[in-house]
Amino acid sequence: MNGVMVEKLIQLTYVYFFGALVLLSASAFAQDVQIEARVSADKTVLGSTINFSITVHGRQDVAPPSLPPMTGLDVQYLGPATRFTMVNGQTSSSKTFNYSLLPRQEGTFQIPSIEVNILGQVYRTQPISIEVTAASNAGNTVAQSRPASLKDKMYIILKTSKQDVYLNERLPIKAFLFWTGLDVEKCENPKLDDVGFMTEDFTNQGWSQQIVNGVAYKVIEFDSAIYPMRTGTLTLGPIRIKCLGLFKVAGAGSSLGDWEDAFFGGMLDQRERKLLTLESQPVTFNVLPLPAEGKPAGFSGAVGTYDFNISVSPLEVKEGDPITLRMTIIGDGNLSALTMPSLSADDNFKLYEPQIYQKDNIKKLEQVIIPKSDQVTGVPEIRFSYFDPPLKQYRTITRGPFPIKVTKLDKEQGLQVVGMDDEPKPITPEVLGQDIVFIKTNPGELQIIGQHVYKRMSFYLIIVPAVIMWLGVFVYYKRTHRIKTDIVYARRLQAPRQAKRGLTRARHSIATGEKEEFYDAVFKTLQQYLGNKFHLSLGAVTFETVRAKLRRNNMDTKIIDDLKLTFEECDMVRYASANISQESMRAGYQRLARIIDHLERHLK
Amino acid sequence: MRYFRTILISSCVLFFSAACGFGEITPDEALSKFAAAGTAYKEGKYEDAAKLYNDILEGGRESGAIYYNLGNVYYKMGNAGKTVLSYARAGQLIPRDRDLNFNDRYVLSKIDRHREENRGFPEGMINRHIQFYTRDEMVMIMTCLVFAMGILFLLSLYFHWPRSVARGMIVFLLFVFAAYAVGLAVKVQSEKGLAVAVAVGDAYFEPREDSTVHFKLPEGAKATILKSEGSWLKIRRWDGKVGWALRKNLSLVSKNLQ
Repeated sequence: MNGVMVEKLIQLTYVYFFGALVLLSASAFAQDVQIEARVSADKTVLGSTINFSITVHGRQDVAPPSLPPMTGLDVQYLGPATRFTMVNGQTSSSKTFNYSLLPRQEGTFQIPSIEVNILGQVYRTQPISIEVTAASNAGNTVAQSRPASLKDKMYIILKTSKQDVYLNERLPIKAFLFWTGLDVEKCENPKLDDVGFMTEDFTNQGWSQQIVNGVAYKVIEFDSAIYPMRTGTLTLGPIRIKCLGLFKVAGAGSSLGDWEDAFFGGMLDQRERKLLTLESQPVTFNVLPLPAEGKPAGFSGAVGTYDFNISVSPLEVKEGDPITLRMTIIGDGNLSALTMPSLSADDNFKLYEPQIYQKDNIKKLEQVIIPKSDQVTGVPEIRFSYFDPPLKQYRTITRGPFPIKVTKLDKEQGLQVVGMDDEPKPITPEVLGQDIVFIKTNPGELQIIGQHVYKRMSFYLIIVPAVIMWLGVFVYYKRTHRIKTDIVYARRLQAPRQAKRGLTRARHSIATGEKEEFYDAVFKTLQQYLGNKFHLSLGAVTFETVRAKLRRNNMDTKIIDDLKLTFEECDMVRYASANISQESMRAGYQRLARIIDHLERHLK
Repeated sequence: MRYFRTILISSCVLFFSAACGFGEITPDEALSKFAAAGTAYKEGKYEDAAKLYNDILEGGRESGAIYYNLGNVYYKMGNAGKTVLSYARAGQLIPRDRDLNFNDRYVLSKIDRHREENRGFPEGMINRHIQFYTRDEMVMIMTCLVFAMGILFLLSLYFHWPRSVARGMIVFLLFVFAAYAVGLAVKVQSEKGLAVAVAVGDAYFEPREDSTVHFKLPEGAKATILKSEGSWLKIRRWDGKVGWALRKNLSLVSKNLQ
């Protein structure tokens, strides 16, 4: 064999080898894509899961298909599994997507046809039907009238001890977790949204068994309490609890089959842990406002039933020595939010920051106070007010006063520094931290935002009457002052009053028929009135002088004529004893009244 | 007569309504939340405390103590801007409170803002005087001064005081009244536009983020708002510098003007 032939042989070998490889690959590429769906069991009981898988044959580069929502079934994706085999030169590959299905209720459910998109082509699985039945319960004599659901097997309920409660009153609540037909590995304490109230932590009171509708349930009780922070109808809950349940996987029993069941009672069954979140129904209750009637001064919002005690020690101290004030409040209310009563700051005691402790239903306060002088004879009484819901009334507990004896320090005693050496020791400076001052425990005066004093109606209801009153006083002063200082004004002011008195006297004279008296009254009334009006002395009031003044004031001529007639009539009766009838007297009276009325209205 | 009775009854209703105030939250509920917030603060639950204090404010009621406590809460939460803002609001209601003044100075010194408060004479002196009173107190003082002038005037008339004495006293009171009136006007004007930076930001020469930065606006810095344009505010800093800042970084001190 020469070199050319060897070379050709080698070339042929390469061709055949690569050709075989290509053929093999082609056979792989030429494998048909198939898709199938499978369940581990088409019949199961409530509380068990079913494995559901979708297998794509012929391809492995496929994304997990997303399942549509299925009524009555909870779906959880478990992950993929791939396989590649070569048998007798034939290769095959597949990829399986595994899901776990948990039925929520009894019935027949349809897993629909699932679409898988592979390289632009859509492949569909066949739909599968599964049947879910309720698990058999020992002693269950009550026939189920409706299909069972997981909610019947496991649920939580929330209860309150009463429907009506006062603002900030302690309201005990209980949550009961019921379950049957499955195992609960563990569960957390329930959680409650505390919108509108403060809550205490839930405590596990242990488990028990209860029969509900003929079914035996295991029950765990959780206790807590809430304190509503606002009035009105409030909604409590729903309460939520997370539990780890153990579920059997349907159709995934031991490979030992019935023999295993007989000896191990299903212990080797495959089980799955699932985290379940249960929610209760919400509960509504009414929060009543605290009554305004009877609210004591110094009431700081404590609601409940309390006992309040104070101890003061020592009761005999020297000037400058401390006394410890200890207050204890025991009660069933919201002690965390309760403001301890305090000694009001006054000139008798120097007060130090109190220490407050609380445990369970007891709250204590310890405060150091120092009497400022030997004149201090006692710690004043301290009051604690609270609203008692069972009694529906406010109560105030008063403790004290506590008599104390403060001994004056002798001058010789003074301050003694004990342990002072002859040589002064260097004083190392204290290193102090710095921080902000603590919060205020008293909210002070709560006012409406933006409502300044000058925007309030009450401000103007005080200002306006005060201004009116001031104006009234000023005007009154002006008037009286003018009357005192301005004789002309004073006379003009009193003119109508005097005229009125004169007219009354004249009217009386008409009634008694005394014509001299009548005309005397008429004359004097006219004289005084015109004298006051024109600031004339009584003797200077004659018709002529008055006429001139009336004309200057553009008075009506009729009035002047009436005036003249009246003067003449008066003169006639007074000086000539003329006989005047009753009618004339009445006419004379009317004339006089008319004159005075006209002059009052027109004479400025 | 009929109308008089109607007017009288309406006036009484209005008076009592104004006196009582129709806030959304009742005083008892506000007291309850205040106590709960104090408890939360003592337990270190600052977010809960902040929420409860803000619930009272959103319910329409305020007090200096609430803003003061809220400032403490924000300080504990490390929010300098809101701390300064809350203390500033408290200062409008309880300006002479020692604890508030201490905390405010302390926080400002910690964030290096204290220099802004120490303005020179006479601006600083005038500012300290008008900040000594609340707006309501100044109005009440002015009202009392007017009443005092009126009463003095009437007394001088009735008891025949020498004119020079009466005039002197009334002129003096008028001068004090005028000083308070001017002070109130200045106070109202300064409070109207006073804002605090609640977030770190910049002040630009123009109301555009791509324009040149004029000065920094650190958290807790106080500024006066001069003008508003969309999401931008023209502000003047304590040293007189004027620039444009984003509205979201600033919060007005006067809550009822927001």
